Amino acid sequence: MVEFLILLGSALLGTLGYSILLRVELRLLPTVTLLGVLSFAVYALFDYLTADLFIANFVGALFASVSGYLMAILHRAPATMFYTSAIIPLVPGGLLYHTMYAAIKANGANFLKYGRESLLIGLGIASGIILGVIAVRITRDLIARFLSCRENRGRKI
Amino acid sequence: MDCTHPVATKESVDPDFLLRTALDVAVHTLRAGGEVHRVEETVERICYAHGAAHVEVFSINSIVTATVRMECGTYASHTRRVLSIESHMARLSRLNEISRALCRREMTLEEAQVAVAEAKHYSPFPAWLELIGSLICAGGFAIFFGGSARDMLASGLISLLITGVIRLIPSSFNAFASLVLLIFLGGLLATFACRLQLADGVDYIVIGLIMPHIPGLTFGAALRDLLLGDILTGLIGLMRTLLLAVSIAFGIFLAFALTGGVV
Repeated sequence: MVEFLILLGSALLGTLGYSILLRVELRLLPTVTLLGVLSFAVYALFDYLTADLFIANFVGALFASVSGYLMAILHRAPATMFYTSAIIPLVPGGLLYHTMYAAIKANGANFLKYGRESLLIGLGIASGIILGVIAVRITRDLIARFLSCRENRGRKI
Repeated sequence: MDCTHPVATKESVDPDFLLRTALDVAVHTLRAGGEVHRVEETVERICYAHGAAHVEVFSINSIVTATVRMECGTYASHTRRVLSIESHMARLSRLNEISRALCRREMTLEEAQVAVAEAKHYSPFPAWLELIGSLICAGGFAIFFGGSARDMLASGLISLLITGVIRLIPSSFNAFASLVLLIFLGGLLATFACRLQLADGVDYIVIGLIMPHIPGLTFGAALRDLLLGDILTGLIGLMRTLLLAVSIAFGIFLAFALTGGVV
């Protein structure tokens, strides 16, 4: 439990620092940082439940993407700002470092092992973002269609 | 050149000025880290909101080209080259507001020109806070990936130092060469910190340092563009991911080759 809290705390620091580097506006820094911590918590939960790197990262990224779009609507700001920062704790920095380190040490077995896992996580994150984007667009279109139907019905009456 | 749009406005709109303004917003959106499909949408929406009859836009990460035709048949066509892209979310947000205001016709094209000129130099906080950001980011991720408190401190301080040094390099300097230099300096200082018993793990310090530069997000964005149909942008993004990874690996290789590897 203590280890997990340390992970959450360090994810918070990492996301906050990264958001400052991305020059997120000061008023949005708390929201963006919180999204990063929550995305990591969702990832950790699914990693615990499924022990599958792809699924855990996919669900974490999906959460970051959908919540990023919702926050974008709420704060009238670009969604990129929210989900780019929120996804940073999911980025496999350690694995990519070990992949690159194996490459420069000409260790083919480790390069393939870490490279494969990094690729799997990358695909999981990308799929999560894409599904989030599509889900938000479809929901937005459905709501717009529903509202226009209601307006038209009102006119007939 | 001037013509009157019958639906959206009674004022005369010069297609050349309209397209220049729309492209100013779009190009700076791209430079601030906006997605390509958003850039294309921005030009289309602004032009249609100001009476365009037909708009064609094509954009990749380094170029935006657009043509607008008005109801009366006058048209304009422009191409803009985008030399560098940096993630600047506050500017992106400002440009997004300008775009919304233009589409709702709450802002004139002349006002938008002034607003874009202001937005492209806008910064939400002073430069020193960005240095603190690099310290927090590297320190946080050093401990996140398993480092000790000493690694966190070392990673944060080294990041602060090298970010300060990198800022002295002119922006015209090659981005990949800057990254190699940054990672090389970071790897060198991390190794020395461990040799002097100031920190415990070079790996964790370097991971903390490379996290803001790691191409994981670029890779994710490239795949997203590919799967959403922006194939050229996606392929360029994948190539950029590869070059970033090679630059980071080369920087680490140089540092470890000079110092004799991980302690």
